[in-house]
Amino acid sequence: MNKLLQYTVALIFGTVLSTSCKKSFLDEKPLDFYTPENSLQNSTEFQAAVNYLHNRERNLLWGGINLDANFALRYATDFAVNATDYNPPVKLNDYANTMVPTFNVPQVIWEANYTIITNANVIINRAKISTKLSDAEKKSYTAQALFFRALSYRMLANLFGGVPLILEEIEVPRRNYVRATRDQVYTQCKDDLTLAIATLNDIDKVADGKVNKQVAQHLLAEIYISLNKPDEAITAASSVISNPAVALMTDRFGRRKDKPGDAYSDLFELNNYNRTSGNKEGLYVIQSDYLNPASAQRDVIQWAIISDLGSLTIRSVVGGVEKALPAIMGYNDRLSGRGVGWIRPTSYYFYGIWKDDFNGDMRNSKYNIVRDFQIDGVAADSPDFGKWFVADGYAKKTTAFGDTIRKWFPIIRKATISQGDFPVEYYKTDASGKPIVSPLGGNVLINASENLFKDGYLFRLAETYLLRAEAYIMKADNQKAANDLNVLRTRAKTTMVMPAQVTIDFLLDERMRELGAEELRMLTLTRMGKLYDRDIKYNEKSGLTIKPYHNLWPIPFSEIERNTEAKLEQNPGY
Amino acid sequence: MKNRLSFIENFFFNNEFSKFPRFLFLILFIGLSSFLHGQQNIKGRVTASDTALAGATIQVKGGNLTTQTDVSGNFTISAPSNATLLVSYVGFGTEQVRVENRSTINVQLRSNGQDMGEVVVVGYGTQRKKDLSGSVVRADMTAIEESPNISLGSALHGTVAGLNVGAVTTAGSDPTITIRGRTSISGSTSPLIVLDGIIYRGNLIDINPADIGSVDVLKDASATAIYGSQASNGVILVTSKVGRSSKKPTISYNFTYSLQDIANDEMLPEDGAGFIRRIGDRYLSESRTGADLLTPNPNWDPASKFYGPEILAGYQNKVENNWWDLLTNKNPAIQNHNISVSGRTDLSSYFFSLGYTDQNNVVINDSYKRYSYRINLDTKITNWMKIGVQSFMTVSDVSAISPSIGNVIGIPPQVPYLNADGSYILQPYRGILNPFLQMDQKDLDKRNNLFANIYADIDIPFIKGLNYRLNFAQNLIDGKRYNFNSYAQNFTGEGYKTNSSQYAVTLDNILTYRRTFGNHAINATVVYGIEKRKFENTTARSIRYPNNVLGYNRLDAGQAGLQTSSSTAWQEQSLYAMGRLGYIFKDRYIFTGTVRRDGFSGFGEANKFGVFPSAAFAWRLTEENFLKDNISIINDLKLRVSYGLSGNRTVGRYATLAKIESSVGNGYLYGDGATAGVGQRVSSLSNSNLKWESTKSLNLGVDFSLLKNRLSGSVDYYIANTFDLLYNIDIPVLNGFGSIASNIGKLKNNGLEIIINGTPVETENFSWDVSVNFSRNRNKVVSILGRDVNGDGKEDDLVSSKIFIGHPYGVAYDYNIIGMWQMADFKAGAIPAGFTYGTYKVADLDKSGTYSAAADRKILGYTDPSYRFSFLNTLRYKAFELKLFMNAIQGGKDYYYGQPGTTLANPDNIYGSNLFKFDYWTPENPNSRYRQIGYYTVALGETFSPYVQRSFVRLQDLTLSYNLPASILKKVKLSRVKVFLNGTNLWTSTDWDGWDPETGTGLDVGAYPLLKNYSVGVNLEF
Repeated sequence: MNKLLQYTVALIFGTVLSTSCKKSFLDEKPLDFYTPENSLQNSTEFQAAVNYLHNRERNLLWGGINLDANFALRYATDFAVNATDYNPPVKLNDYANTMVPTFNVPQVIWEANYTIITNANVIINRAKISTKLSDAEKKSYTAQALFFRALSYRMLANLFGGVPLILEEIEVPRRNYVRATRDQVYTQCKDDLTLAIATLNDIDKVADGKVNKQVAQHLLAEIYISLNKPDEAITAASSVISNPAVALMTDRFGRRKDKPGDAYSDLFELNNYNRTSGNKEGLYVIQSDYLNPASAQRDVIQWAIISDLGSLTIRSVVGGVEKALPAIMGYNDRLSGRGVGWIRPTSYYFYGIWKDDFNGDMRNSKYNIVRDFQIDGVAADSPDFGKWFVADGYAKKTTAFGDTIRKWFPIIRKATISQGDFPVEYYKTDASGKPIVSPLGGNVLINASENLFKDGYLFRLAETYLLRAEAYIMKADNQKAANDLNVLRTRAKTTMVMPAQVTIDFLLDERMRELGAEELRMLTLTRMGKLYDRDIKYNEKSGLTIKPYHNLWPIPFSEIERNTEAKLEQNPGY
Repeated sequence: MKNRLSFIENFFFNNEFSKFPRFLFLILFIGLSSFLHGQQNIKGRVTASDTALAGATIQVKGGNLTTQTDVSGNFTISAPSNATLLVSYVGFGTEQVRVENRSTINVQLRSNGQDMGEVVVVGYGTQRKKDLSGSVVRADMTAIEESPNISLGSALHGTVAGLNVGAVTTAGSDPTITIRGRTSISGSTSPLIVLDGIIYRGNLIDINPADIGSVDVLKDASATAIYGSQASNGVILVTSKVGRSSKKPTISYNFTYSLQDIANDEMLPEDGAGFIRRIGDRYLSESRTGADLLTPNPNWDPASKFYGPEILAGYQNKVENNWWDLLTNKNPAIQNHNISVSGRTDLSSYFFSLGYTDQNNVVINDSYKRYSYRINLDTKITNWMKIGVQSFMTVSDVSAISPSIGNVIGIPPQVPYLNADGSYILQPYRGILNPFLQMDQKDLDKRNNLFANIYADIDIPFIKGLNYRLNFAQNLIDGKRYNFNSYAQNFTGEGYKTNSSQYAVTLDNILTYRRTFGNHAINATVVYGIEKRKFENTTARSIRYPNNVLGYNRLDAGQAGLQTSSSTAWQEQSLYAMGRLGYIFKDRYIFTGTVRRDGFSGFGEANKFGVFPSAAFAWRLTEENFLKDNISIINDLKLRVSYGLSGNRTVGRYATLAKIESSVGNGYLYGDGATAGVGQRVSSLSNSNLKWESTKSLNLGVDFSLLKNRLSGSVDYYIANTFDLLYNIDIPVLNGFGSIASNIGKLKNNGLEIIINGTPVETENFSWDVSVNFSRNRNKVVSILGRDVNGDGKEDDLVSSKIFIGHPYGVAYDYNIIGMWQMADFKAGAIPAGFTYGTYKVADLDKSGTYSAAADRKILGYTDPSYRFSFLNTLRYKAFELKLFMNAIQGGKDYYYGQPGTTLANPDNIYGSNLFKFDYWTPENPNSRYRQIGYYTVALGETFSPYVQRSFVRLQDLTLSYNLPASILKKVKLSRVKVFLNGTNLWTSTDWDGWDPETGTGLDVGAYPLLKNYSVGVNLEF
């Protein structure tokens, strides 16, 4: 009994003591995440932070952001219309009523770029104070971050004009931002890139996909054009072009060089983007590997820009009755992976820009733009089987309105991959597990074939020539401009352009021929102030409502609303 | 004896209690009388419906000797061996018990319709209901005990005014529960659950409802403040069953079997013709001709709009599948078995139970199995110390994958699902995996929940009324989620295993002093405790299996290099001290004061501790002579007032720290075939000032009992002001973040709760009881950002978040639909740009001729309900009992608005999927509720659609039961047999569109249906 009492008393005191009020008991210990204090110190950690910048840039360019926002960088320009909201025109097809300050697209693009900028600023700031980086590492990470910061400010300045310049790591959120001028923003880009170029390695000294001196010089050339400094632009572009490590790919190369195709189509084959394939043209290659966990983001371009062929029907007589039947058995790797026809290139892109040399220009070859296909969606004994959809007049007979806009338009090959390069699991199989093959050849693909997984170009050398040509045009040096354009046209085995023909509009056409579906056309047109001019001429839908003030996007309304302690001026017209 | 007396003398004469000489006299008297007359000591326990009655009075008949039962209902009294004891309790009859030489006498009191003497659990202790000063309500667990409620939460549905329980639609899930109004925007609005005195963090559904003896709901601040920073959403105290007061073990077996069906069959998908018809309705101008579009177009071919070749072929081959029938269970049923053994000896009490629940809902594989075990034991190891355990283990199993309900409804009837050879088509439509194959995954989803509270209860020797209790509780929840889908990753297979473990430990030191000194009764409690919680999980995943027969048990059979693992972990700590003092004078004036100091690791460095005080006062008027003597119809009348502060731990763990997010998904690679590199970013800034939200609330209440307790009830009115409301303030995304959390807003709630219980008829063979619960809450946003940018002297509304100062949180703020644009308007050219026939005609509020979000939206109503009521009728005739339980939530004119049409597909998608019928516009149906399905007005927004009130009245439960009479029971040697029939959700009256107004699911193909049940059951006791 006494013992029990003793034990009890001991127990009580024991528990009270063990639970006594120690403040440290309430200390918070993160178990599964890092804090800035313990994980932005050494080289590995800075590399991870730079990886994130690449990741965000890819996310922005490949449609990991809101899809409308991604598409808006390409359509509602002279290049394409929105095929799903066509009639009646809504979204950016109805440009005037949609491109308003409350529209989410400017907001999404704004946010994506400031995310890159603020994260770049963290690297720049922390590299300065890190005690674990060598001086060379500090300079290298800073230079890479400066490149991304400039890249983002360039996108913002092109689209919006002057935007707030944030150059420090933000430790206390602010609400008192004001816009810098467009020139100030470009000047900042110039300063950042100049600083970066001094440190960055040449392209042949860095791993594929990494930031390098040549891509920074390429971007700097564009920035100088925006700053109206053509001479400096020419110098910057020339230093890229003259570097022996880079070259235009004028001959067949890469994995499929022995298969039907041409030098231009080789540029866009799977695994032909990086320098390891022999490609010397890419300056910044956006990286992706099938099934690599660091490349979960697909490029939406194939899904968006290939027509919705799977839903295309023809009228066919079966047993004496005319029926609607599918035009194809299924997506076929001879043609492309699955597309849904969201972005539909303008008729100017499909026909207008090629009319001078429709058959001669390699960039319009059957390996690069497929303009017809054979019908295999009907029974093999049907008279329609094997007929050509366009050549045999089926396209003309389609009655459903959507068919002509969304379900069928020419296939831009650079947006997809080639027969045999799809993983076997993309092949559609029959009940016994055997791949289904069209009687006309080619494997039928499953819907997952919409997930494109090849690399992409942000910048390649062909564009450097175009930038230098643009700088020469600014100086009215049409001869040299023509020379640069003809470098590309020579590779394309098309006719030469005469200096007298060279105008800014010709240059814009040439950019579209060379970079169609690659370049972010909206950035090019807003940079030059040509969005209104070109849309009204060439865009079937947004051209109907666009106004001159649309040459700049509106500052997102919510940013103006949230910035309560200072005024963010709206662009005129909005 | 002498020593002890002198100790007491010393104790009382040397401290403040010496003011009570009468008390001492009483003690002396009792002691002396027992000594002088040589009477025997009688021990016993007083209970009512299995619950111990504390404070029951035991009196020796014809003498002056009285005593009262203690917290556990136990008493000791000296009485002559031939005496009669009078045992009484307010609200109960007086029982006369002859001693007849017994030394142990257990007494079971019968309620006389009133339960004012009931002991309720109040958190870290118990109180007699009559001594309550705060708003504490014991749920009537018998109201719907026969219905097949799998979750304890559902069993509380509609039983307590102010306790709002939602409906559940999927197997093995808990309902949402809230108490009174919304006090938080960013944080949880769920009440704190306390199980047997321990804060319980697991799922409510892991607690077998059959094991639960009582549920008490703490509503006002005086009651909840003892839980400090976690109390502002109210507290639900769950108490498990204990051994009954009999020496013979009680064995009880309950069984129910329920058949289920959907409660609302208007939501079934349309047949093949309906699907084809809707394609035509999508393309009005193509499927119809004529100026009024009333003539079918002979050239219209719906097949031209088909999505993909599969449906085209099915349509041409006249395939018609009823996907609903294919993918739902024919006779979905719930089985419930519960068996328990309980009893009590002089020293110990015990309760053992086993439970088994097997639930199969309508959609195939929407199933749940639960195995539960409980052991509650206590034993006196000395006459001053009791040790015990309350423990349970629950194994729950929700394994198996259901077909997605969106596919069950959405796949068109024309789509075939079998190949010619009888095998399943892999992807029958639009790349969707065949639902039959989707169900074919190997799946394991199990949870083990182990809970034990081990306690020691010590009546501190030498100080009467002082008790020390030590609770040491542990809760371990292990989760296993294993899945293997051989169709994933483009049919190459994907498998993963996730193991998770959550562990919580609580250590409470509770010191209670409870004693009565003449007219003064004291009940003081001091608590000091800690809680620590940990969680960790690990997932291993691999893809692309050359041979998949071993499934998830051989994850390394996946492709090398593509096997990944991931893990997460957290921990949090709390530290708290609480004091409560209850003082009652003359059974008439009741005062309770509490204060709690709460520390939590998740609070910012600047605010680690918060202090939460409260006070309450109650006055029992019926103890006053002017009432007692003069007005006989009033049996009991009590006025209550309370005021206090409680908190909401809105700030979760780690919310105040700066974080770096790091993952390979955010990473990058350099070169073809390169290794994946991790990416990292600063994902949040540190915010060390964040703290809990606080609510100050005032509660005024009346408890009454009239007409010989035939009519009783309570009325409560409350005002609750929440401040330091956590709100994510929008900041320019220029900062790299779009918002930052801050304790800034203010909300106000006020409300009224009425509980009325009556017995209109009571005769020997027939009785009729009625209970009515009514509650009404009004919520108001007082402040959010505190900014007045437009300079009108009033704080600005936050229109972008639809928050309006002075209005409830949750506003239907939109364009006001005043009709539909019709063909006649179209022909007259009267339809503005952006609209067409069959679209919503909305009010042009600013008469500008255009429609803009800035100028043409207004407040149409609020999303909160206006009031709720439930209504329980119990009719008894001899051994039959009929219970009818109605439940209703009403919106009045301005409240309880929802928008059932927001989830409908846009014109781009609506023709590609099947759907249920709903009231959309066509030229033939011009007076519809919803617009035409082929066009929407971009200016109004893609999802803009009418607001509809969710008001409903439901026959929630109907039960007929029969208790076998004692004469038969004796023959079959059973002590109790009850058989019953029950129906739930049999009838609902509402204007809402969708599966159910209470769940709030509208015209949503992805939502699960509410089910109705028909049950039979039997309760046996031997």
